[in-house]
Amino acid sequence: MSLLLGVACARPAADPSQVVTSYLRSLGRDPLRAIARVTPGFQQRHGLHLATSAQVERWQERVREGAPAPAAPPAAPPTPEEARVSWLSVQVKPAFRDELARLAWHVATSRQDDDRHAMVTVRIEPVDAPAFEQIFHLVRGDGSRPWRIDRVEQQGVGAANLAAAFVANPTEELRRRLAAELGVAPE
Amino acid sequence: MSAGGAGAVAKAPPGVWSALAAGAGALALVGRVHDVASLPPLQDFDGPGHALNVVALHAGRLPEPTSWGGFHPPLYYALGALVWDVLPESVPVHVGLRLISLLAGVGLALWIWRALYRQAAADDAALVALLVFCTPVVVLSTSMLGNEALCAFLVTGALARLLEPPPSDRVLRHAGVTGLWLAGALLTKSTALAAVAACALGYVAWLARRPLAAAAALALVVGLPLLAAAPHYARLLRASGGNLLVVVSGGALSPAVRAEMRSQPPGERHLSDYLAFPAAALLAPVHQAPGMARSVPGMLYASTWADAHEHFLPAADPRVLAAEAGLALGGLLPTGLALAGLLRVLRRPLAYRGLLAPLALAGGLALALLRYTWVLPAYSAVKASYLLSAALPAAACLALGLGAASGARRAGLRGALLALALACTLVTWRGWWGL
Repeated sequence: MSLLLGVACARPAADPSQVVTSYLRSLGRDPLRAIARVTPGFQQRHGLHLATSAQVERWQERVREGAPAPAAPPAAPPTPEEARVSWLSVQVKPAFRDELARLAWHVATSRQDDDRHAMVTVRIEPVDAPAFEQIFHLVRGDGSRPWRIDRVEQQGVGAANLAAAFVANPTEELRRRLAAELGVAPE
Repeated sequence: MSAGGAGAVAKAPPGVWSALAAGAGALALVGRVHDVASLPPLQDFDGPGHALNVVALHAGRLPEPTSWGGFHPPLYYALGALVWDVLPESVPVHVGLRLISLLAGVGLALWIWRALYRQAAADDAALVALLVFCTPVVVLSTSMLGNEALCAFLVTGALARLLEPPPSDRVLRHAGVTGLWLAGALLTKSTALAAVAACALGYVAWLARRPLAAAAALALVVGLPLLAAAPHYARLLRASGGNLLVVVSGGALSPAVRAEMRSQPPGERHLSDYLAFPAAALLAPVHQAPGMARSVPGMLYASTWADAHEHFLPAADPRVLAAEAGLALGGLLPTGLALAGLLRVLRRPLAYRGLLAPLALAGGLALALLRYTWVLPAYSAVKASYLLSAALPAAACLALGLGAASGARRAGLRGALLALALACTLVTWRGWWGL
């Protein structure tokens, strides 16, 4: 087991822009590789929750009946496991992957502040919506460890490119804005 | 299948049926590779739970015991972490994890073929192994990421060694190798605890007249797996406050899994759930069909011969549902043959001593599943893949049932089994449905 773990952990460290590029390529297509590119803090910040099958069915029923879906705030922040599972689960929804396929992007700038902090700015261009910028803040424990994405900011996001912004950086805040915009709660 | 487990029997060499089975097996393998790649990410049974275990091991730490899949032993996930780094970045990680399942499935079918080849007619062995490989429950398990296929492969490797008596001059070596197979299985899934008990029973049965040899074999067959898996289960015991039964029941420590399971139908169990077998199990074999979510035998049968949980094929498409119904109806033939084979064993149990361990495992797994479905009254708790490690006893009974026929009738049965295997391959080939 130690041998297996040793081999598994002996990976070369990529530079910050390579990490961001790999992350964006992996979103929706290779979610496990994507989740390995982010820190536990990132998972705490996105705030996405899980819904049980019964809740999803109730939402779908309400939507079919034409009523807006309930948007009550969750009782408690997601547990670390719930945060990871919900972040993975949202990426594999067909609608999410379809929207993701309509994004073009390129790394605009990459800056390494010191041995442990870096910032990469990516310009994201949806096919039929205004472009926006996504700024990745990366950290690493020490020089030998791989860079990981700790925090994401977006600039230039409005009603017209909200769906693209959500799939580029799925968070509970964007999910709620999108739900309010669409009048439904995308589960 | 030879009575008495006396080893290889004089018989005809592999013939045209074996050649046809090999061709159909190659076709099934091509379809399976396509399924592995085409199934969307994490649409696997308990996909995120299994996947997060691999993520944890890949990051160099053990999964949290209280997470969705954290109670599972680590072997499959450690292999997954290794495969993650070996495969190029162009191959998604989940595809690599599914390839482990696929390889285990191929190994399972080859084990079954090899075991039956020594005991039954060569052509029967080939056709039965092919059908096992093509049965939808095996197709789904070997196209998805998860530890079931690997556990079934390792358990079958151990069980196959007990179809014949251990060589009298090499009992310890025989038991030691069996113990290693079981150690691998127990490091993969807790289901293998039942296999350890079944193999111990098998050695006792074969060595009843040599108590010292039997005791030494037992020490190896039980001791090696328990020693190997002790650290994992000790960690789980600490996390569960000492309740091992809760831990091996599956996800019992995860609040997220408990919430999901509590929300699924039927929500409560009655004894009648274990007796009802709705027509939908044959005509519309999916959990949403009338009476299915409640029927334990119905869901077990449907999840053997179709995608009863609708994880794999789009059952909303009426063509898919009709095709799956065809498989469920076709499944009646091998099911009937296997039951006939089981009856033969039960009529002359001493003549089939080699099947004692495999059948004891099948019985143990069935009882464990019944208990599991009673304490967890959710449709998703009734999955035939939980019984995947009992593939060898099922295959052996099918071979016995098939072997009871002769002449044109046997040829007809062989043809029907081959046709069913091909139909299973086509229906479960996602490319067929444009997926």
